[in-house]
Amino acid sequence: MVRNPIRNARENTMKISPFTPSRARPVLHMLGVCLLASGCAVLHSVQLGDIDSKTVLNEQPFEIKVSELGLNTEDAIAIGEAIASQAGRGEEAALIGDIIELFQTGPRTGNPTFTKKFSDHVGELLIQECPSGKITGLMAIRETAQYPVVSGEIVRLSGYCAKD
Amino acid sequence: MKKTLFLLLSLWCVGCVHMRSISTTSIPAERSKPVEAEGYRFMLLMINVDNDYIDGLTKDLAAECPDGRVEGILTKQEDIMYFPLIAHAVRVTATGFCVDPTAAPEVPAEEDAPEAPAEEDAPEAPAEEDAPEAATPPEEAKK
Repeated sequence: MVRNPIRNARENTMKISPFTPSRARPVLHMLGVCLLASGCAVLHSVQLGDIDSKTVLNEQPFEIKVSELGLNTEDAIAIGEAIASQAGRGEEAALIGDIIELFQTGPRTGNPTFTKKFSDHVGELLIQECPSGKITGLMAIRETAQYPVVSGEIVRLSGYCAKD
Repeated sequence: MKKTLFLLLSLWCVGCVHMRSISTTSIPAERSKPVEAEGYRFMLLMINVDNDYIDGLTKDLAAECPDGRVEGILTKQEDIMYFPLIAHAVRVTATGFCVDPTAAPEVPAEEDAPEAPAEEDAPEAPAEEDAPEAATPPEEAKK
């Protein structure tokens, strides 16, 4: 039996290609995991203080980072609804979700956290980092590292400490 | 075809910029030498892995004013939308003024100087007419 050479070539290509359905699945899974693990960085605000150029150009910078776990309530509610709907309680879950969302209004940056004091001690950390107190080029950054459902709510301070 | 092209061109030309945050420090008296630094990140499909592009702002400003101080820094963060969902960007601009720390502080101008008490407000010296009789010339006193 003589086979069509074009068809043979196609079949061979399909066997070699990494995008065959059987091979594509693990690749796609890995890509998905990488995307989930990498997260997305969102910049909320930047504030820069006065700069003493000699210190900035000659000294090494320091960085302080404090963070807290944030919860994306919309994602969490959507997952809760999906689980509850399988048990036939989708409407109740939706009602609970609406009530939770009612308490999430107002201006904010990032997702709600479980404590509001996670950045209160940055002043003490600054003193520890620069006991002389001569800090210059201080940059205060508020950012969020977003992941599915959860997030990292971050306050980052970077600056330069002048020696005595 | 023409309509589609026109629509695409219109969308391409329209860009939106949103102010995300702004802050400033005290503005110095000497503002003769402005300095500026910028951090920019283009985001395809709104994907942004880190915010490291703003870390060099401080050094960039300092490099523009190597022997002085940078004061009056205005930090501005803008979100730019080139095309919905597909093409976005974030721009952080820091502008300030290079101040020479060895320069003598400026003498306040006359307008700003505190005014000297006006003559009207000064305590009046006792006028001769109102002066007590004891202040009369000694010749009259002898009489």
